[in-house]
Amino acid sequence: MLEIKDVTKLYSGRRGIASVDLAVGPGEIVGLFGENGAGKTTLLKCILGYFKYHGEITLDGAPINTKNIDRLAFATCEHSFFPNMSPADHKVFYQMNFPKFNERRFEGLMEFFELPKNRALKQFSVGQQNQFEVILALSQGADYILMDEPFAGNDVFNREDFYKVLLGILEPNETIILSTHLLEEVESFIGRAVLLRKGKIVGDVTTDELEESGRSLMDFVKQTYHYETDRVIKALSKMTDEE
Amino acid sequence: MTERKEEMIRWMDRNTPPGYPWRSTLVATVWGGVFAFLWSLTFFTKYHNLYYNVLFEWLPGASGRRVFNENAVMPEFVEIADGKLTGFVILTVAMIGLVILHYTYHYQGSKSIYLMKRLPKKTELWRRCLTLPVILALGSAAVAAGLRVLFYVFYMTMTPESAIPPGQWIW
Repeated sequence: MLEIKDVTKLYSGRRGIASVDLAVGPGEIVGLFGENGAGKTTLLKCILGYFKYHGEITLDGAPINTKNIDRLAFATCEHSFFPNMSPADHKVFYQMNFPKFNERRFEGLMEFFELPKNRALKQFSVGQQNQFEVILALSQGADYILMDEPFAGNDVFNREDFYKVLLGILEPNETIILSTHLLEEVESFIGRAVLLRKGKIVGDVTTDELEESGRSLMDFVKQTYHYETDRVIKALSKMTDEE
Repeated sequence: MTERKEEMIRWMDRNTPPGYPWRSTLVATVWGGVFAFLWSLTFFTKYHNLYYNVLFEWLPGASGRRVFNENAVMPEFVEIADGKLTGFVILTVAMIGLVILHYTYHYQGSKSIYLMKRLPKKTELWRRCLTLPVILALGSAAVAAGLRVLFYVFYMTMTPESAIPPGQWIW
């Protein structure tokens, strides 16, 4: 169980996330949603220990440190691979550093996405780089896989493939926390949606609950954000002086 | 490729940031070392010039002959050796820059720093950033120290005893 208790992160006085409480259990697939600057990336980076924060983050009751950090994997749109190295070199590096590295999954995903194994990653397209970033995160052998906009730059077919593959390969105890703007795309893939706004959790719902209430994920987000459906028309009217 | 060369390449790969182009660093350092070494050799030209200009005097007239002046004293060793090892000092200090280069490499083209910071081996990032610069800095300092000793021994053996100023030491 990944537990986040009363976590606050301040950026030079400005609040990144404020008093966030969240618990994510094994096997959950959680979508993390929110506008730009809502604190999604900040929350993920606090979990991974990249930022100092106030509060407590634990993994099965233990603080996250070198003893259990390998239980967390991270795929980011900023990319965390080494651009000069090939996928084959990365495999060796991961095998050296992550004892639970899943070679079979790595090879399988490399084959599925038809990525060249011996070419430097800097020569890959952005879409291929995203794919490889996610392949590494999924193959690390981690229990909790954190993803921050991992498919930015990939076409819709590619993303669709990924969701299907993900659902097919994940073990029951593997947990995904996926930060994305692609609400409608991931709706059928996730089991729970957490909504952040101005650094605070403003919504936390399972997709079963949504289904029971007859709402879509988009409806839930709009309602929680108090989205005014006529705000565009109002703004355009003001700008064009129309009655 | 010889086995030894392969082993060296593997060692470099293991002890520099993953994928870092260490060959260019090594080439630049070797060239820096060559220039530093060549500059240090000017100690001998300086010594040679002082030896003949200070310890010998021209005979009067136009004979073109010089004789040893028994009362003449050579400048102190530290004065002759001053600045001759500057190249090695620069090379050693430049290794601080290499550490910075190694660290900032993890921000180039991606944020591989994220991966390095979440490795189970906590020291891995700094081990890879520091190993090569520390070895090169120590190597540079060792060569400089060795040359300093060589210059001192040369000075003390080549200079006539009567011309050695009192209280000479290596620094």
